[in-house]
Amino acid sequence: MPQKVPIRKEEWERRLHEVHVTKNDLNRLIMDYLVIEGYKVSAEEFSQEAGLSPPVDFESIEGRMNIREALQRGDVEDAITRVNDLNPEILDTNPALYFRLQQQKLIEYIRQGRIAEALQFAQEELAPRGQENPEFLSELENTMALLAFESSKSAPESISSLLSPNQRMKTAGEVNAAILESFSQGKESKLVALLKLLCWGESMLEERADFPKVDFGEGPSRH
Amino acid sequence: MVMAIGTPINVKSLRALKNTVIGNPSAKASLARDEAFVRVLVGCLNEPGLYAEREPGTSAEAIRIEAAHVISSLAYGEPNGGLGSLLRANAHQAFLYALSNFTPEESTIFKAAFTRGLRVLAVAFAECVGPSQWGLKPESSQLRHEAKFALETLFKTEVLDVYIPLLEHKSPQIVISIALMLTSTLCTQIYRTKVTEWLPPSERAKETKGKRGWERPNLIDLRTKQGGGWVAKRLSTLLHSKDVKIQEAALGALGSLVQDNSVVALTLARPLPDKDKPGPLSALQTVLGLCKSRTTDVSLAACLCATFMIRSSVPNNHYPVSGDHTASLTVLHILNRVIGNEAESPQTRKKACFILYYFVTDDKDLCMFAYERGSLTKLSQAVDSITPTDKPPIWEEEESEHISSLREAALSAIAALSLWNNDIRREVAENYSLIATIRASLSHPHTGVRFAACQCVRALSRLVAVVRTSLVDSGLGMKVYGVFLNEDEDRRVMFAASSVICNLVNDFSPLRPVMLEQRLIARLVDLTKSDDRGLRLNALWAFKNLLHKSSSAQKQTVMTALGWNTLSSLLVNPDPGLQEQAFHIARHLAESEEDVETLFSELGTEPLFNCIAPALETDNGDILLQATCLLANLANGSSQRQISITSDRRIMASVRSCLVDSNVYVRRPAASCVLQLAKNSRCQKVLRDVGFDSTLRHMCDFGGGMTNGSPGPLSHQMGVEDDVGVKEKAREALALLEYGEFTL
Repeated sequence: MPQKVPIRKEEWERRLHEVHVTKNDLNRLIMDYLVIEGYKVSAEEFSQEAGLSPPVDFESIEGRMNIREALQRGDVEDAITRVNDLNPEILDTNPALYFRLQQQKLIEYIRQGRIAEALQFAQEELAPRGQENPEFLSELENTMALLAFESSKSAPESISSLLSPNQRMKTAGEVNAAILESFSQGKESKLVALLKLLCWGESMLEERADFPKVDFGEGPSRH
Repeated sequence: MVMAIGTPINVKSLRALKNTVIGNPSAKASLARDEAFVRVLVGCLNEPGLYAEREPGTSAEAIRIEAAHVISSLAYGEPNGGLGSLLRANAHQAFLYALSNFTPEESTIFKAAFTRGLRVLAVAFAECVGPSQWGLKPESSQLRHEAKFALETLFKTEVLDVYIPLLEHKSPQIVISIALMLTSTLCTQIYRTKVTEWLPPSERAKETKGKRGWERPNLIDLRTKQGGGWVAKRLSTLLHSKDVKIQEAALGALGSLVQDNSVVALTLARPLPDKDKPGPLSALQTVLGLCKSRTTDVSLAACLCATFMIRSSVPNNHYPVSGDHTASLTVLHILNRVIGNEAESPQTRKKACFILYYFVTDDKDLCMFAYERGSLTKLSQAVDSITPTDKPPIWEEEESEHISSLREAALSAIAALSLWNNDIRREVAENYSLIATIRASLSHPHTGVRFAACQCVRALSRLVAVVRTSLVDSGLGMKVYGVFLNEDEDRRVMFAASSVICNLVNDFSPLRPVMLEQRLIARLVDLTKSDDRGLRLNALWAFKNLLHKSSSAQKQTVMTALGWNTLSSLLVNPDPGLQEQAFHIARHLAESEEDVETLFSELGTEPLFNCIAPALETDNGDILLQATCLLANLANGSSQRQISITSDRRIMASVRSCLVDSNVYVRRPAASCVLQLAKNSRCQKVLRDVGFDSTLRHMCDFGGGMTNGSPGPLSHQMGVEDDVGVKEKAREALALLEYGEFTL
């Protein structure tokens, strides 16, 4: 195996400095991130400070933000209503997403201890989804298993994690992506895409050289 | 009940209803069952005051919008549920009425909701009627007729006048809805022609007057001058939009318009003669540019559009072997890349596979072109990547719809690639892992996968060597036979399976005797009585192949099961395809003197001749050929039978004109027939009386004064035969008629 070329820190930093990225480009990257992730207030303020116009109007960001907040507080009905107001096609053309929302609704019933309603809901609404699309069955089974464990500590990780805030965020992220796609905006912020490209580039270079890598630490998890 | 009885209909209750049904198939089904309520909903579209109550602070427009959303959602449900009740309630007419009465005061949100409603319904009609662009969909035959009728109304001129102009609306949502509608509904040549020729009413009035009032300008010239027609031109302009959704929708609509539409395809391949723009690109070049879009959906839409443009712009859809391949290479490169990329979603890879299917289908040279550039390898790898590793593969019940569709798409493309070329067929046959997957796919729960697997076997079964080896050794042949025997199988899968059986019953097939022992004849007889014309045709085709070179005993067994009466009525069946097969069957039944005798005695001489005589006079070349071949075989019968043939003056006159007027494939059996008859001395006088001697003399160029120049098509037109085989038979027959008595 050929020897890896060592690149010292000073040399690396010198090369990095030679690549010019304008402040405008950096600002646009940040604006793109704030818009896509739905941080309306931050986007508005940043827009003023950086003198940058947003790629989309703030109302649409607000719409997505409200949906994300509804899901994060566990109000799935409200989220569904808002998604349908924004674009009534989305849930009709995305059975997997609709199932995810109904699954989240069941989880919220269980979290609140409303077991009888949870059972009825599972029987009337979720079981038919499983029949129509067998690929949802395994997720459905996991969710029903929650009922059996009733938030007991002995529940396996894959089942107890359904009750964690992460699950709400995961659902919110999927809904956000679907809305963005329906309005022909990118599903993923360019910053995240650049991070992925960076990781890929590092792994490619790693095969041939030793160089200082970016330390991401335990940064925010992305889905 | 989705909405409790007695609930007032207003904006609030309609919104609640909308949020209940969107995404929820059981709620849709429940709503659809209440047909009275569905009619009320449709009524709300145009007469909200009559059917709903207006709460303070809400508008009539809001009621109409919410009703439109509920109806649109219902159209997304199961066809037998929602769509059926919407058809019966004439929802599409209600939307059209509203669209035709759009006012400037009405909000864009309102107009967008109603345009969307029309679009969702129209797409649902098209999907119900079929065929879908992206693989097999569940069939709902009970609704098909109604949906077809509704779809046809959307293409009346006065109806096109309502929605086509919306392609120029300033709202992107409205433009996208109309373009998406056209993408799905332009599924027949008739519809494409109507939309191609459509002009706005103001321009229509101008065009119908030529310079001289009574002249009607050539519409084809007008279309080519106008950039392929108003709609094609508008869609081409939309390609330059910065909105990727508009681009994608315009590409879809343009592709559907151009499919099998050579006039428009050729026009769009030419640069636009636009005075305002220097160096304009042709629409095809714009589309090829969009093939390289970073948005995958746009890229694939562009590949499909380009595929239809490329295929439709060549004569008979046949791709020239030489010439500029840049366009094809661009498309193929992208398709191969997407198909081979496991990081792409199954939905995306599926689309790429189907686009490849459209790219190569029924074109031998394009199949080779794609094969040489690695398409078969990519497809095989794609199939491998989604197939369980158990040997043989076991299908999971929970396999996602998207994975099944990808499998269907990849197998369909493999079938299309291997249909015309033995090298490609052999490579598939020798790919053991692919063969194992195809075999397992024949029992896949997804209908489209079974269909595509049958099509793969059909392609393989066209090569004798494969029929004799791989199809037997791998068990593929008998597995398809199992599908064929299953009476509960989907009609379309049955059709594909029966196409395979047609190839497996030939005399060289080792599976023929095995299938005969396992109900083959009984099953084929059942299919001859099917409601489905395709199945009836295939059953007859299989019988025809089965009878060829079979023993008299075997022929007897077949005809005992099929029935001579059945054959007799098929010989005069108004469907030319079925009639042709019947004659071919009769031809194969008459392969020996003994069999000829059986045919005559079972059908009766006069009834048999009453079938043959009109068939010899038909314009249908296929029927004429088979009838002539049958007659040639009958002429090998006993002397008595030969005499009966010559006694039928109508048949004799027809045979004589066949010798002169028909193509060489008909002249050959006709000449054989005459020669056989001429060998019977008891027929010679009649043959001379009818004038065969002078006809034969002309054919042999014994008329005098026509000896200069070598025989060729022109000489044939003048009565001189140019086919060596026919000429020899003609000479021999003439000699018999002129000089000889050939004693039996």
